[in-house]
Amino acid sequence: MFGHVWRHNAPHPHHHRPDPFAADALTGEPLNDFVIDVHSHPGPGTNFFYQGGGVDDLLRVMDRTGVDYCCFSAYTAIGPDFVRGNELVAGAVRDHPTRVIGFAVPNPNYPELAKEELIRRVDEQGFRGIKIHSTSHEYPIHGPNYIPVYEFADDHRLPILSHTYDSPARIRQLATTYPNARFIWAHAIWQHIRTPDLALTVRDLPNVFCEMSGSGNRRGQIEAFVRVAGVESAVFGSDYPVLGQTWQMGNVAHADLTHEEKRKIFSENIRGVLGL
Amino acid sequence: MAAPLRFRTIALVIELIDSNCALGMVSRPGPAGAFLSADDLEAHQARFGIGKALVYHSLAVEEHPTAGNELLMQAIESHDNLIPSWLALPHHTGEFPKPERFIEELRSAGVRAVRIFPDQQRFLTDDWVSGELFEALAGQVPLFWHIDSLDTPTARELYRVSTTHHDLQIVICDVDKMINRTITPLMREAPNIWLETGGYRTHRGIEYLSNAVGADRMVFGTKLPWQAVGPPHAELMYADIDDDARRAIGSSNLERLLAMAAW
Repeated sequence: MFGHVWRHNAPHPHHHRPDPFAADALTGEPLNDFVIDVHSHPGPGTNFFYQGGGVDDLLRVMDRTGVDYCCFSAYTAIGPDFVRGNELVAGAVRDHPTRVIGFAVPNPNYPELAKEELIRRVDEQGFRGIKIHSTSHEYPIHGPNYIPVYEFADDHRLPILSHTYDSPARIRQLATTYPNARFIWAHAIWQHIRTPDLALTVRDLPNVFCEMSGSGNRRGQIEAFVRVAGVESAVFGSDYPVLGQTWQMGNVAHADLTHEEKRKIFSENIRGVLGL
Repeated sequence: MAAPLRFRTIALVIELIDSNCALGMVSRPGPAGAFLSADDLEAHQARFGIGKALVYHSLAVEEHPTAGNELLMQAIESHDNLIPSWLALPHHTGEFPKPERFIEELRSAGVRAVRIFPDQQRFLTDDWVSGELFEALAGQVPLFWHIDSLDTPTARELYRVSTTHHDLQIVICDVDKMINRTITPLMREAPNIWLETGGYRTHRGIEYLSNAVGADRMVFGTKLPWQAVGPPHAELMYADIDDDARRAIGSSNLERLLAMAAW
């Protein structure tokens, strides 16, 4: 009879024993461990609708999921107005310093203003990372206007969360040119299936991480990436509220990985980089 | 490090029915592969509290419905928790039975759900192509309509078919994010439209649609074997809805839908 429920700790029909992350996710409880989401975008959807999306709404979702910290870069900042978006995040950092980590967005199409923004947000307002979106801003990640951004990150030992990675060769070039910067390549774990060189490349680059946010969700994909690149190369990012935060959170929580491997993905790999 | 002591006095696993999964070999599986046997599929789903599944055969979509439908019945024989669903095609080419005959075959086999993949299997859903099929299914058996995307022509076609064939229960399968501005008025305009949640990865989407159109219009699905179960499962389990609504989406809505079949 459906609609029937049973105690979570009832014997499992196939004796599969979920680790604590999977057990929490199975019942929709907040993850009972330290969790960092490196990829989120407060603000209304640009050209599509989702309910909520403001800072307070995202914090409520974090309470439901058990995510301790989120790296915020505003949705409008990766779109039309990076100054306005960075200002929104500055308010969130100021009001919620124990939940929110600010990532400043420079739009390379406004190079002088972008440089001023980085100095203001990082040096004066406590942002701890940079987010670049070369697709939305339609500017190549190897273009000259991004060089000051990479130099700034290298000087300040900051993480850069990038929407795209161009190619494994580009990842290696940037990582070795700016060894003090930490590159987080968003959505990249899903590219591994089409670009196996990606995982092989990042395996040997200690200042490079890949995250899994996005619509990709092929069964076994995270595990396959980890097997090649090593678990130290993977970090959790959701891209919420563009998607549900729970989408990739559920993917990692239920992955066929050990509890210790999941802890590394959910927080340990990136915790030190973010100063937590 | 040992896991911290936790209390789970009220933590419950809701038993789920997966409304969207396939058995059999597929051309492009993810790294974890496909489910080549019913036992394997059931074992994997059990990890997530999925006790039953409305299943189809992968060859029905990747090769031909006739072959896949037959293979499905062989594969799930003696697996009472796997509920068969068959794929359909329009009959005009002679490769698939006429609708009246197809309905009889469904009835004879006890199959209470039909699926179509018009984008993938290259047929139109205009009435001059698929109208006879829709008319035959209306009031008899629910239709699971798999889409490539809820783009403008697809949305307009779903609206037209659902408002033309009022008694046809249509479950839209394989949606994506960014659909709220279309799915909301579509489901409000057409009370015979349902949503399968396996691809609905919108921020607070299940919660939003529960309020906008009702939790009684959604059915849980996974899109196995192509997609991992964790993401759609977490979307349902973490949605800020009450447990009655969660159970409805997780299982009882699909039971209600299947009970609408005429046999």
